[in-house]
Amino acid sequence: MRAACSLLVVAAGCTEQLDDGAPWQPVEEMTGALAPEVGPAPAASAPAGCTLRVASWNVHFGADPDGLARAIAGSTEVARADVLFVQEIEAYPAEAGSRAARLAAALGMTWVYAPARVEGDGTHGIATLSRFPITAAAVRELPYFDQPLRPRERNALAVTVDAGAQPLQLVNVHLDVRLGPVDRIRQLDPAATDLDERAVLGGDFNSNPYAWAGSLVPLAETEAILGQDQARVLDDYMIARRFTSSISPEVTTMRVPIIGMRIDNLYARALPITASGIEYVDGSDHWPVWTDVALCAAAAY
Amino acid sequence: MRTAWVTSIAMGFALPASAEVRATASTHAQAPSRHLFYVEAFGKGGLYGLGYELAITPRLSLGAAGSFAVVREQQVLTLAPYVHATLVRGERNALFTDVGALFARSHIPSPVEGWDGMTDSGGGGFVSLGWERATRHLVLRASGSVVAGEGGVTPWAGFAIGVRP
Repeated sequence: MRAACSLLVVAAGCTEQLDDGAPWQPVEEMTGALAPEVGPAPAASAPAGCTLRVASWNVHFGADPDGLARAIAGSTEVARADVLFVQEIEAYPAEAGSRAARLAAALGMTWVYAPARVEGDGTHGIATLSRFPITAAAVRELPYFDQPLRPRERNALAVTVDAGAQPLQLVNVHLDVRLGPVDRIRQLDPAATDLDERAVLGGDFNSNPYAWAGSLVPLAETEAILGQDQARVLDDYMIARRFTSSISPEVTTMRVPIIGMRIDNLYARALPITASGIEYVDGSDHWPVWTDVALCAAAAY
Repeated sequence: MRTAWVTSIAMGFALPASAEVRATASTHAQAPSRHLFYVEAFGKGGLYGLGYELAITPRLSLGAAGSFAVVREQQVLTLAPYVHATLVRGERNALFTDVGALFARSHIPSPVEGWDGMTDSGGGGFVSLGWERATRHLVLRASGSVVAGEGGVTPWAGFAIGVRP
């Protein structure tokens, strides 16, 4: 089937959703190769102020956690993040701890690492790092799409942090690459539902501009005429879920020559966004995005 | 303005020209039909489309191509009126250009509850440079285009096969 799709790129039905994912599962109930790793509470956390900064960065395997930590520490905006969503981070038994754990230790944060799949003798997944104690964490397996080129298991990680007067839920996601807009919404939707009212959801949405023929050929012509970028589609969907973002769909968050794509983003619900941006930090093929949400105003929001 | 680009697909066409030549040798004096009907892939019509051209002079034609495709439930409708001009013509091969407008409408149906989906319409333009190989009744074309619209500018490639009845 995949070989046929590779040859007949005009066939538009080569992508197939094989399952609906799974419900949110508390990390403490998960076992086996994909069992999440939960770090200890941070040694000392300053009291949360009225503003919480959340950042998200696809670290492209995170092979050098110390280098990533130096890049973050040397940055202007991401260095001030209270919570950091990380995608494409890995763990291997031959290394001295998971890369998420090493990055978190270097930044003085706690963490939850949620592997999405086995990679060689290790794992590959997403992690959420926090300066504040994480009081609950759950993982949701997202719908799986069989594709001609590199199909992947995808997941979402929801953590609750003890910051401010009320606990706050933060959801980190990493979606498939060559999905069209309908399938992307289909894969994202489980991560955006069954959440607390006050929530931040972000990550690498892989919201490239195109519809895809057979998950292989981007229909760039149609996008050039319409400008119906998937980033705009996601914004529209998230607004329907009452999430907002202040990062424009016109910006680019990935280092791809010529093509501009906002594939990483952060959304907040029932939390006023007071500032946000992209920081051009070396260390990955993505640039981190960050957003500030007002915790104190949220009670009256 | 965001610029997007896609890898073009190289494809070669070859016609069984010698047999066609023998079959049509006795009718070469007749002018070819002014009407051309064709199907195309990755051309003016998006993923695939149908087109028609009417020759108004030996080197100039008016045409239109349209398509409707459903790509993983996303419905894409396109219409492209254009002018086709032959720049250089040999016995069977020709270099041509197309210049025209492109109109498109895309509907993304909602796969989930609580979201209505999204519909966009827009317009733009394109200019193509292509190669044509033709017999009396059969026309094959390959072209490269630059397409510009609300979403930016992108290169594009198309392939067409048509008949002159």
